[in-house]
Amino acid sequence: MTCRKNMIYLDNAASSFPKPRSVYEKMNSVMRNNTANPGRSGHRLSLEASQIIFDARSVVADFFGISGHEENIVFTFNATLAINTVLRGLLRTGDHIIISDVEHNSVLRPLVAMKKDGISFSVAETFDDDELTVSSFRKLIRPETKMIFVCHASNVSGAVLPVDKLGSLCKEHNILFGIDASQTAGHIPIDLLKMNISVLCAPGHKGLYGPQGTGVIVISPELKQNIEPFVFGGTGTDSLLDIQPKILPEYLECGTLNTVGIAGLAEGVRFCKNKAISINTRIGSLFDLTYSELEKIPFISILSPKNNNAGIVSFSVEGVDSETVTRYLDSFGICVRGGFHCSSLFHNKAGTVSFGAVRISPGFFNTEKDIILCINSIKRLKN
Amino acid sequence: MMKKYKCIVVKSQTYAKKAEKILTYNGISAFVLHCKAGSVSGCGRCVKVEEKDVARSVDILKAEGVILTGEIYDLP
Repeated sequence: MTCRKNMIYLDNAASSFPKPRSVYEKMNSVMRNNTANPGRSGHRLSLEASQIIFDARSVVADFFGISGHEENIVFTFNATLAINTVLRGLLRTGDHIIISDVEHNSVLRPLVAMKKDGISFSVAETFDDDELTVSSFRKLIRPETKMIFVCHASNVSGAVLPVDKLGSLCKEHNILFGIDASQTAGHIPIDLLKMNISVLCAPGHKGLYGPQGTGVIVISPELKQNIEPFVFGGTGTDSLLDIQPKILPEYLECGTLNTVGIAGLAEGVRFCKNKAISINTRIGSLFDLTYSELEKIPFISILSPKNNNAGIVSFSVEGVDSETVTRYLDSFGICVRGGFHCSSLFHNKAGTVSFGAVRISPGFFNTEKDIILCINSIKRLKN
Repeated sequence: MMKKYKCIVVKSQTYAKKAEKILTYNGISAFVLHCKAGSVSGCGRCVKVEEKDVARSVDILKAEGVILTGEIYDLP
C-alpha cells in the first residue's frame, strides 16, 4: 500500500510509514481535545491526560509480558534516549558490559563515551549458529561483568540474535540483560519475564507503529537496581524537595511528556496486539519474496541471513556505491536506505565500509506489488 | 445518611491511576482527585474512597506495591 501516490516506502526499519488509521485518529483527537499537562495540576483536563498516559503504560506493559506493572514503563523520546538512560543509569565505575558485533551506534557510542568514567566493554562475535553466538558471549564474561546488552535483531541485516538463550546465560551468571528491540518490537513476540530480560528499549515509531518522538524503556519487575537518571527536573511529585524522588516511572521522565505522541504509540501497540499474527506473517512473506528475487540477480550480494530474520534484506551491488543505488531507486519513487545505517560495527564486520549497503525493510502496509516493482527497478540498474 | 469520604494521598501520578484501577478491580469505588491545599508530599493527587473502605483500600494498595505518602484526610 502506498498512501503517497506513486511512492513505494520500503524503509520501515528507519521509521514505519504509513501508520494505522487509528493512530492518526487518536492523535488528532487528543491534540484537538486535550493537551493539558498529564503530570501537573489537578483539574479535570489534566486528570484526563493522566488517564491517557496511564492507559498507554498499561497497554505497553501488557504487550511485553508485565501486565499490571505500569510504573515499570518509562516513556522517552526515542530508542536512543532509552538506551542511553539504561546504560548510563545502570553502569558504574569499574563495571564491564558485553555487546554484540552488530550493534547500532546508539549502543556503541554511549559506551565509548563512558570509557572515561571507568566503564569497559567487550564486543562478542555473532554467528548464524546460536550456540556459537552464546558461547562467544560466555567466553567474555568476567567477574566485573555487570550486563549483556544486545539488539534483538541487527538493524542492517535483520539477523535475530538468540535473546532467550542470552537471557538464560545472564540468569546463570547473575548479570543484567538488556535488549534494544528497535527492529523487533511489534512483530516478534517479546516477554520480559520468560526471556529473563532486565530492561528493554524500543522506539515507538518503527514496528510499534506509533509516531516519531516516542520511545520506551520497559523495566522488569525483577530488576532490583535503580536506573539512575542523567536528566533532572520537574516530575510533578514532591515539588518542595530539591532532590528527585526515586519513584518510577517519573524518576526517569523529567519534564512534560509527549501526551499526543504517547497516545498515538498506545494505539500503535493496540494495533500490533490485535494484528500480531498477521503482521508477522505479512512481513515474513514480503521478506521471503524480496530475498528470493534478489538472489536471482547476479550482480547483487545479499548481506542478510535467509533464516531467523526480522524482515530486513540488505545487499550490495557489485561496483556501485549504495547511495547511488538508493538515489536511482528514489528516482522511481522507491524509498530504501543506503549508507552505513548508524552501525560501524556491522559494516566493519561485513567488509562494506567502502560502499555501504542498500537496505529494504517492508512493513505491514506494503504489498507484493511494491516488492516486485522495487526488484524490477533493481534488475534494470546495470543497464 | 450521607456517605463520608476520605482521600488517600499517593506518591505519584502513576500510582494514583494505578490505585484507582486496583481498587475498582477489587470492587471499591475509587476516583483520583486533586489533593487539598497543604498536602506537600506526593504528586498533588489522591484517591477518594468511602470512609468504610479506607482500611481495606490501604491494605490492598500496600499489598500491590502502590506507594502512599501515609497521609489520609477527610473529604469535606
